[in-house]
Amino acid sequence: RELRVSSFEPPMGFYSSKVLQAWIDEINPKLTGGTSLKLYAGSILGAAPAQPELVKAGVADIALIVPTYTPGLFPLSGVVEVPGLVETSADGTAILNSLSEQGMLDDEYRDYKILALFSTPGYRFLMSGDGVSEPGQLQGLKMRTPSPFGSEILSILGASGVSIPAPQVYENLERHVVAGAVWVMDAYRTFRLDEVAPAVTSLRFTASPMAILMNRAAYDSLPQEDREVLDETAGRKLAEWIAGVVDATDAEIEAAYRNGGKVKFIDLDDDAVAVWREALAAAPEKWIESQSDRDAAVKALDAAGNTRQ
Amino acid sequence: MTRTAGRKIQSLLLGTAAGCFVIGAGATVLDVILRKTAGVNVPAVIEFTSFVIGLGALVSFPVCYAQRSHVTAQLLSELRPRTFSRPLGLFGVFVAMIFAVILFVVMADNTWSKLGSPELSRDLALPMPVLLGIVTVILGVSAVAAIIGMIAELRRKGAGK
Amino acid sequence: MSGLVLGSLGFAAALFLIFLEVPIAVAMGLVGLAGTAMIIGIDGTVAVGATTVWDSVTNYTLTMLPLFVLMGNLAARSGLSSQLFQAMSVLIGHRRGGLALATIGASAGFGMISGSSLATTATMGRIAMPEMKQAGYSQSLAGGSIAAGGTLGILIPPSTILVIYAFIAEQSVRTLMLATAGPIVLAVALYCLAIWIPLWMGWSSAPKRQRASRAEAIAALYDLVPPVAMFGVIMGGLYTGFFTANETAAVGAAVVLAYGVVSRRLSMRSFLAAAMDTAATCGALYLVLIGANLFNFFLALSGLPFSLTGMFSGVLDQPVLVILIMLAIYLLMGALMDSLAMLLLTVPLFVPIASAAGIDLIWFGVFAIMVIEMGLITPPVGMNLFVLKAVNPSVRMVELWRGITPFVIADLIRVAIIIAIPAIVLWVPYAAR
Ligand code: NA
Ligand code: NA
Repeated sequence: RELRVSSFEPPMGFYSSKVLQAWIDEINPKLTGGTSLKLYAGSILGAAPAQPELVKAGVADIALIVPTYTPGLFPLSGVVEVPGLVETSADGTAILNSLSEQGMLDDEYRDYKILALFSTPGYRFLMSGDGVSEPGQLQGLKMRTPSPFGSEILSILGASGVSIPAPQVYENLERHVVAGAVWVMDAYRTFRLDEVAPAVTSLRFTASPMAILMNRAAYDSLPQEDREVLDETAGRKLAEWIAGVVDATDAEIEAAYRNGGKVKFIDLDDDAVAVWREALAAAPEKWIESQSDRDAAVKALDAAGNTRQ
Repeated sequence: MTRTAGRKIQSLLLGTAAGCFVIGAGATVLDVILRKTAGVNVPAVIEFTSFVIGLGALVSFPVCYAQRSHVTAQLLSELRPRTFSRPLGLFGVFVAMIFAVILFVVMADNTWSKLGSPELSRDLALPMPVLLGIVTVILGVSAVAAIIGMIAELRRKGAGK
Repeated sequence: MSGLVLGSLGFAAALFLIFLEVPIAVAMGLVGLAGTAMIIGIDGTVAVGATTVWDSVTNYTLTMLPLFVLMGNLAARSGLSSQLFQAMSVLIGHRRGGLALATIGASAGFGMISGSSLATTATMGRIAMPEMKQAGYSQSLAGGSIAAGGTLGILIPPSTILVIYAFIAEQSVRTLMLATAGPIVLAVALYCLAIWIPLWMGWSSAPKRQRASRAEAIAALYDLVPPVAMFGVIMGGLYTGFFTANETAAVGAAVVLAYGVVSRRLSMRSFLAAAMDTAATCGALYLVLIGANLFNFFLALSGLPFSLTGMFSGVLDQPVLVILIMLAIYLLMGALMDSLAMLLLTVPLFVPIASAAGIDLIWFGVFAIMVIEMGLITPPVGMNLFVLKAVNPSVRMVELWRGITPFVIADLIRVAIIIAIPAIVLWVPYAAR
């Protein structure tokens, strides 16, 4: 049986090519003759926010999802968005897997078999103009936000978040609809944002959770040997491998743009970072307030903080 | 249902659709003006515009089915109207009715399975089951309109004989 | 049954239903749902159906469609379109095919504010079709020039298709936009020939008019001021960065509305009529989009598009051959499919092949956009022709097919020229660096 692996990203996109396809190429030879994985990239099977529903219904057997695209469905996975917790994918991945192993995410993923839980690298400010080095400079600016909680973070900083589909961010920056974007360095390469937002502040203050989920019935229907192959790679092991690839690529892109000279890097010393931390101090409380189950949120935040240390 | 009632409902639906388009355009224009004059933006304007214009398109569906104003590639009935116009017209309306009913059932089933889901829309934070419920109701009205369109087509055929 | 066989059968079934005059939306949608159910079962199909409906009606880019239709309707109800065309008629109507030439020019103008070919065609279809009909132009020439002019909507920036290509192929939007300059000039020139040659040969008719008096010509120039000024506001706002491509639709509708109200040419009654007409048109258009999305989902699932690319492995050292094969595939698919769907299905598969064959990806983007836009006017499934038919139900499809032929040939010549002389595409962007 051929399992459909869905990615909302184009086939040459980072997660499609370097993560999903690479994993598929590694795992396919190990599966029994009757089973293989095939990538359906480029949102062929549905738009990004529809991915959780499509894998739940079996349209895709496996899918890459961004939990924050469907507010309310995966509330606690959003903990990696809280400022101060995640600088690298390895940080976010450690937090999510620790929460998962403690059973805190069982409720939100009860309809799925989790193959991997990980996070993006830390998001930075990609700005048009001269860029920002201290929080006050964001006052009154409109910024492309990664998520509803991203907008909360921006409003704490005196800016406002505008939600814009990824491919249209370039034009909206060019037209000064927004002054910048809260995003990964990879946006420079994928969406050519270096042309319109060439000042990057090297503060990595939030991140997005990501997950590779599998349809439960599809997993159960596989032969015992194939389930074992999947179980062997799945979980923390797969997530940590992904985090390694993600962080290496992020570092490689950063190095390339630092050498390229077209992008202005605003590096912060410890004092400057402390000013940002101070400005963002209210964020964890805001995150808890935004959750429907606040007790669970407090526990998740504690657990995430412990993982970090 | 009487013909005048039917016409009134159609006008009401088209009027709602027209209102949605005007409101959607108005929100966007307001956003552009506020952005340039006051440096602020209408919150969640992209999602609001998408939803309100999508609603306008949706409430136009029943009128499209009832008036049979679908986009159709008419080849045979233009070449030989006497032979093909009526049977193909009837066939098209019949298949359209099946499609309208299936689309309604699909949407209803999906919405039913999501009742109680905590999912919210991204920017306006509206509950998704409610939004999907609205779509389902309109597709239900469309299915009824398609059946009315079928009956109208049958009557037209009868009157023609 | 293998997915491939199922995909081919589905293709045939949809075509057959369309041939039997089942509404396009219904034919594609039903086959799409049925085919999907055969591959992944009922539960999955329900999820696909529901997400497709939801994604189609809440897509932000598509919000441009009703608003550009509204803009066109408001312009028509304010008497702007007839004013524009009468002025054009006075100024160039005495030349052969003057109004058809004006249609191409006006479509190019609309193309500069519309990111969508369908919206351009719908708007121009409402404005230009009745005018040319009244002037005694043959239906084929009138329909052909509007439908072909509409394809300029996605070639001329802003273009949603171009932005989506840039996104998938990871190319610069700005460079791509510059690269369309040469092909646009070429397109307009070749479309003029596509109007003139059939007229010279006597295949279509466009009554010649007497040259207007000097006073009439000056009055006509004066009549051109309001539409040109409105266009200037919209264009100027777009190119100076006042608003985004998506926002031009709303701003355009508002500007035309404001003109109608201030000049007292638009009564409350005709405003309501324009809005209601828009709703009636858009119901049909959105249903087509839903149907096409369902159908394309099924095709993707069947693996048919994947198999089309299997034939490239042996010819990568011959880039022109690669391009010709892709051209053939695009023409084949373009006969039957929607442009956006074609782009989404093929570009991810073709770009790595083009890249491996050493083809410049900016050039390839312009090539792909041009060939995909041809699919909008080639029978049997040419969306521009359907849109034109939807806004002018009295036009005969056969006439449209006849009228579009010279323009399809013009497009083929244009593609041949950019294959022979790639510099037409690449000179402007590389000179600008
Ligand atoms: Na355009
Ligand atoms: Na076509």
